[in-house]
Amino acid sequence: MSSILNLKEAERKAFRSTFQDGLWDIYLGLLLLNWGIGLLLSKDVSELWTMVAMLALALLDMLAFWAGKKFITAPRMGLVRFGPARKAKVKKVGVLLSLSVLVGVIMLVIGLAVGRHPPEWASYGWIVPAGVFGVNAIVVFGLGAYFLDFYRAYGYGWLYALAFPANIMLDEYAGITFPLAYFFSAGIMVLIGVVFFLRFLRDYPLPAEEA
Amino acid sequence: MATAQTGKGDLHPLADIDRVIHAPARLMVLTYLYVVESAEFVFLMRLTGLTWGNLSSHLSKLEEAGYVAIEKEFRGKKPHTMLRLTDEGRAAFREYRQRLKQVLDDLPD
Repeated sequence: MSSILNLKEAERKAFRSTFQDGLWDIYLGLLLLNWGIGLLLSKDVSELWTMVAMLALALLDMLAFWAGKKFITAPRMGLVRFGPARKAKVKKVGVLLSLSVLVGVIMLVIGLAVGRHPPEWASYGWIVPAGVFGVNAIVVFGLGAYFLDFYRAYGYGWLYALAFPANIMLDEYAGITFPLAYFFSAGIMVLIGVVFFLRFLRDYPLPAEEA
Repeated sequence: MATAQTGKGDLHPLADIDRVIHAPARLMVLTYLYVVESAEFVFLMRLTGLTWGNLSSHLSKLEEAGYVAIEKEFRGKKPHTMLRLTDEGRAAFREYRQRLKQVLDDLPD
């Protein structure tokens, strides 16, 4: 009885239930995958078209996420509106993510510029954008995980953070130009998401009756 | 509840406890509704693990007591049964929690 009267835990449990469909995992994984695809494209097309393609892919990911939540999760899990404290936390995470995306885009532009027209410091220059990208990812995902009680995001922060330098190191020291690190990190996230998603579909079939 | 004691470990407040809330299933429902603004019937069913019929019957009792408001909402063409705690329900739950906590805290080890 004491656990059911632990209101903070009850609220957390209610909120965490919104992550058990695995769609956030898949979505975050696909966003990282876009970076890998962007790098692949940048070898053949201009920076502008690479950016356009990445933006289009990001919009597609968002659309798929929204559709999944609306047409798959909501009918199975039901809708819920959380209280003001939780709404404020979600808002904070929204602001953090927007800032993070901005930093990410700046890093991408720098990365593409360095890749196409390597300056003299290029051999070590990648450490700066990779470091900023990594710290940005760890901090933002960490804060997101903390505020949203979405604990898997701690690990995803590290997968994002390591993908950038790992990819450059694979290129520089092993001669692997394919963006393997992005695909590997993104693949782990998507795979985890798919497992959660399948479990969600198994555990929460469409309810048979209407209330 | 048959024999009430006095002083430390007084169990009298238990006799006055709100029995509408005290049933485990209804307590679960009210706890979850207390921590959210509103929730759909299906969401509560998933969270509590109650069956459709079971949850329906408990909600009817809570609605009768004036603790829960049940509203039909339309999103597009689809109806959704949304549930929220009334002010009366919120106050009753707070009082229930206070009373139960007091009784349990006063019990000797």
